[in-house]
Amino acid sequence: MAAERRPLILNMGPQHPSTHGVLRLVLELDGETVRNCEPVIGYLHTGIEKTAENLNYNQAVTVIDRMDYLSPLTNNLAYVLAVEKLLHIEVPARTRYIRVLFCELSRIASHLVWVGTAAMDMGAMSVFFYCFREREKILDLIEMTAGARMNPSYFRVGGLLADLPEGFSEKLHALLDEFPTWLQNYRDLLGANVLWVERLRGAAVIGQEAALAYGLTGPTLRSTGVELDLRKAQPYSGYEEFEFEVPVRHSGDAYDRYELRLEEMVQSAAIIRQAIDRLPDGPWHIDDWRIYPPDKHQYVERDMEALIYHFKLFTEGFKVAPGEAYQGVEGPRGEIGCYVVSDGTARPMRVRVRAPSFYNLQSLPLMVKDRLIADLITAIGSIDIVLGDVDR
Amino acid sequence: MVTGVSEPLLSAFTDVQVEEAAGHSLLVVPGGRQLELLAALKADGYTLLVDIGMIDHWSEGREPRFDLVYILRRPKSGEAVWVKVKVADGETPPTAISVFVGANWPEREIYDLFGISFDGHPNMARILMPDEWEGHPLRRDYPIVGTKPTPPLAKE
Repeated sequence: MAAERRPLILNMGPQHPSTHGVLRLVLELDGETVRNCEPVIGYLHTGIEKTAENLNYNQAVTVIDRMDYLSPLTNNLAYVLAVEKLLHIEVPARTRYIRVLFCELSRIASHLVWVGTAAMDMGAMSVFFYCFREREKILDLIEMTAGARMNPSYFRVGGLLADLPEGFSEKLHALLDEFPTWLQNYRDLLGANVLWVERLRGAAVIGQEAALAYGLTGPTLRSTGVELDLRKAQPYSGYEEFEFEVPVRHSGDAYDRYELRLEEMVQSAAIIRQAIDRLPDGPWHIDDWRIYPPDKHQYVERDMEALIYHFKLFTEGFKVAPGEAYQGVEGPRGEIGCYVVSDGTARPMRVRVRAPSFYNLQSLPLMVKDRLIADLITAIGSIDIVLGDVDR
Repeated sequence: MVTGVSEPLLSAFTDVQVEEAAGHSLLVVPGGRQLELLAALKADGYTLLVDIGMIDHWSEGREPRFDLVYILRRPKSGEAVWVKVKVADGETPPTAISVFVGANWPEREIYDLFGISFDGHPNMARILMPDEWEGHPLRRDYPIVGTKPTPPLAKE
């Protein structure tokens, strides 16, 4: 009597090294073929949306940082732009340029982590070390400006934490001059590697229609032939003043996503160069003490009025008129959106965060159905999830 | 008038009202008709599901208490449309999975964090909080401190 062939249920994670954090997958296997895959998430849920409701508008920046920890500044941008919409304020040109500059730096840093970790998933260890060495140089720039490598909370409602420090431009130019050689390294190590190309080509394919209905955004969507980049389509923070291209691919597989991310880094570097070369002089925050605190040495220590504003801002915060605003920005993983609702107090009533990783991960079962386990590892790598962003 | 939405589409939905927010306008559709509107918008070119979110107006004492907000985009131009449905506590709005398959997880998240379950959803289970959790944390009347300790991960 032939034994009945039953699927094997296998728990992958939550600590599997290739799951990029604490992701658990319940797999239904037939031999090495994945018949079904169910992501189980929530292991990193920290209630950031709830916490933000109980902080004032500027304090909330610091928790919004911690969702997508590979590109915290993009999260910050979505949030501060939404709050600025509610307040009907326009920030000075210098602020916009510095914000764009740092968002693109974060995009490169985030894609570097992706190249490194995705390659490590496939067993190509050495790329990881190069990527992290080079990412550290970007984090150095962020640290010298904002004081922290990760989670810098550098963008504030109405401006920035501080102006660019002395020597920043020189360091950034040195980095930009070096940048093409980094990319050449990765292309030599990966693009010229038959194993890498074969593992990625034709793996984790998703069609255009499904990608849209699943809410995929970012490189994962652009690999299916949809040319949607919010920086171009619905410009924010002055992106319309920069020249760059939106690379698009058509086969929707993991190899296309790899190519797209490398090309996006080139475009980001071009934007950064334009931003630093054309950086306008002038103020880097709005001149309204009700929202942005007066300078400590120039005003607070000399002027009673300034001291009062400063005290009020740091004890109570600023009040925002009732209303709701949404701002979506193009993060490294896709559209990060902040839906901020105010009830007239100094604390947001609701901060809804549209996390790109959450939607991208949802399509994973579709990408890996009836494929081998090895392709599953490729797929997890190729959609570039950050579990902090998935679980929030 | 909401920019980007074609007039013939809206003329079929005379009961839809337009509400202004900072930087965008919302189509407020009466409960029960949101799927028709979403399907019509999808046919009109808004094929990208951006987000489904919920807002709790408990602190203002508003009835119905919740706002369910759908955000869709045109993949070509990136133009977005916001659709809002007012939902009372205990009401079960229909699931949008039949229109956008990606509605599955965000609806589970809303169930998990707000306690609003969706009618016809294939797997109305918690997604972010532990399965044994009591209460729905993103409700405005859910306290930020003083809740019960986290249940143990494994049953003894």
